[in-house]
Amino acid sequence: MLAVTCAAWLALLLGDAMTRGPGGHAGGGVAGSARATAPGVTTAGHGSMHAVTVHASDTSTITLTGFLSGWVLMVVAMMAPLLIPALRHVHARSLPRRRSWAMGVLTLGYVGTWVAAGLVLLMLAVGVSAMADRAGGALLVGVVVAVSWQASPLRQRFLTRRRALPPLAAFGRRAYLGALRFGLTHGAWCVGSCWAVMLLLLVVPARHVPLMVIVSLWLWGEELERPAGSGWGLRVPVGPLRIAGERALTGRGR
Amino acid sequence: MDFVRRNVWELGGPWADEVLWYARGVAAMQARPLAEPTSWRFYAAMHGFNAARWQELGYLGPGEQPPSQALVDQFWRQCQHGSWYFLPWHRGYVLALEANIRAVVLAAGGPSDWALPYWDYLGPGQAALPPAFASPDWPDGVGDNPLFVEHRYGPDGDGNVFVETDLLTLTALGDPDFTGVSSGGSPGFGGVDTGFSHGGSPHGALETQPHDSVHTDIGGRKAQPPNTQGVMSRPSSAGLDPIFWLHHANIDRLWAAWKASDTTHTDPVQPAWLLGPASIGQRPFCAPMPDGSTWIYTPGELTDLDALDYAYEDITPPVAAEPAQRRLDRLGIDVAARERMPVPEDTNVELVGANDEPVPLRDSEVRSHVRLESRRRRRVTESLVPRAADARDQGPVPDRVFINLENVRGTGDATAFSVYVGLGDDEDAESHPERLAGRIAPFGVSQASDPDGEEGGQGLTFVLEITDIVEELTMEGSFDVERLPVRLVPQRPVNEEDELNIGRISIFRQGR
Repeated sequence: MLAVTCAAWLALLLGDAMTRGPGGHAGGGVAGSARATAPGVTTAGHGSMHAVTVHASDTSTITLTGFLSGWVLMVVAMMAPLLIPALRHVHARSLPRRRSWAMGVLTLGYVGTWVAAGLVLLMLAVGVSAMADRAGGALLVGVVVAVSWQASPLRQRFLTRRRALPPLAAFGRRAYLGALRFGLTHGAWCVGSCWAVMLLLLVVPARHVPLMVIVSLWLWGEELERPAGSGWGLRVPVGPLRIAGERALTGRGR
Repeated sequence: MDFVRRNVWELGGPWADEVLWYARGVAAMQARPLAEPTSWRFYAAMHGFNAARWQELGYLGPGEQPPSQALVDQFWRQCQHGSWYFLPWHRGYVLALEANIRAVVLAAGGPSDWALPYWDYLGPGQAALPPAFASPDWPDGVGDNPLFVEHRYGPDGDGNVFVETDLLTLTALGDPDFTGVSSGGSPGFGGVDTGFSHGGSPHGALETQPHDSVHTDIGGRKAQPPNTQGVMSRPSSAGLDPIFWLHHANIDRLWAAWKASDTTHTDPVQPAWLLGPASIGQRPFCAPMPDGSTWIYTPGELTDLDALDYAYEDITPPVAAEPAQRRLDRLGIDVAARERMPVPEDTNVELVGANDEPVPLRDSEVRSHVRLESRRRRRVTESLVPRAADARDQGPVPDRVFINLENVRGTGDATAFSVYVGLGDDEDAESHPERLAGRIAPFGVSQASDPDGEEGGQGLTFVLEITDIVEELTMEGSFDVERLPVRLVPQRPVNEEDELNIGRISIFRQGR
């Protein structure tokens, strides 16, 4: 999973570097040769491995395929580490000969949920960008929504429910259906906890990749924290990240 | 040695000095307000807190002043369950309470070496609740004995409080490894590697038995409506009962007994265990001390009783020999094979089979079948075949086999049920104790089933070793079947509104 995450980040960074090259845009962008789908939605670059963003200041457009390929790449880079407990659960609780398939089906369900969510978020981002007359306006809306959701008790409920590891059938088709159902529900709780920051990433006009790094570290740090209470509050998960950083530097693993 | 913890049943009388001074200390702490960190209820809330439950039991008045949020965040809801921190956290917790009681004892002119007694329920004739805790009166007849708790209902829910010792085992003391795995194999003597774990699972072997069973035996559930679950039956209220501390002194003693019984029985050496959850960026273990300071402790500081200046009167291990060694002897396997016995690791644990549907627990016994996969089943049986005299050092070392009761959900913490494996349809469970895998008391299940709780409502998973049973079934040729019978026999009535059910019953092998 670490390798998959690293590969996705590498692809994103390469894509970002290419967009900053001749003919590219500094704001990040989505893959493909931009063709009209939604006026006002922007993309940048000509490669196929870019992070996606949507903002009003640009005039180009994106294809659906282009958006989805960039979106899936973002999801893999940012969310793959969050899928580790679920993958471990499926691995441990499946018969050895079914483990690989069951984990594949789980991943399919999880990514499928994020793809569906990506389309909804794309429409939301288009709406936000259309309503805000300037890119800065869309960014402001994105920040307010993201911070409010991050601090809300409802989001905390999504986070805690994501921790549940359900019983899985061991034999027959039910084993795969169970893994698929787990992937879909796990993805749903994950979307519920992360949609607002992902929307922010879609509307941010510049410095897209650095913001992705910050958001990813936040989400990964949260995964190491114990769940908080059900009240309002913005918890910055610095503790686990500090410890992880110290361990990485000293080479002391758990 | 400054402090010696002694058997409460062997102090010379129900109100021996140790007990009387304990009662005085408890009374002093109970008189302090909830917001005071060295009060009795504050200490209980360090184990667990649920406002509705405390109100139901009469421990929290309406509009009562709580401690500051900072104190709550630092100290409350700390208890470690389903974790390799279970034993060291509770050791520190009991030591800190003992220090607070001792401060009261000293201030009142009592002995400076006062120590908490322990309750060895498995001692001969010692299964009943110690009399000083069962009487509402002090020894002089005055009726406000602080050791008495109204909401103790006992195994039958009638207020007769005792531990059902005929169903209690100390097989945990034969577990060769402190640390286990959460992937279906051995949960270890002391639990599985986790971070800060306020209510996780699976419970380690000692935590499952006798710890959980004793909690729910003592607390029980009132037989008459409203069928209140006793104070000791749930983690969120257990620390309120003064007998809790004698129970945990005994669990702590059994940890010392396990270590004393074999030189290979050792505590974990990983930094994450020694340094506690604070070393991975999570909450530190801490307790308020009588001088107003906060004691922050780590498991690594608590492993040596001598260094902590206390000892137990008796830590004689009650187990004759390790089950693993006996198994090697039975199978005629070379003693050197013990060196190759599998230690619990995720990489050597495999699912052998599982049942198909969730199993609801009811008042009467419940029957289910675990479907076994043929290839894994063969691997188990091949490892448990007796060796010929000239092949004692050949073939695989024996697998260890475990039954998992996964995702047990509901609100029936005070329930208890026995798990039998391999019984024929027409066989009576009570007549076949050799098929008893163990007893489950789902202490903490209501908290773990709360969808908004720390575990997202996934419930608890319990793991019992069934290697001996599988070995016998293999000899009889009864393990080589597609569907292995499992029977769940409730020890107490199961209330329908508890909606207690098991998500999946599965069998795992742990081998090479």
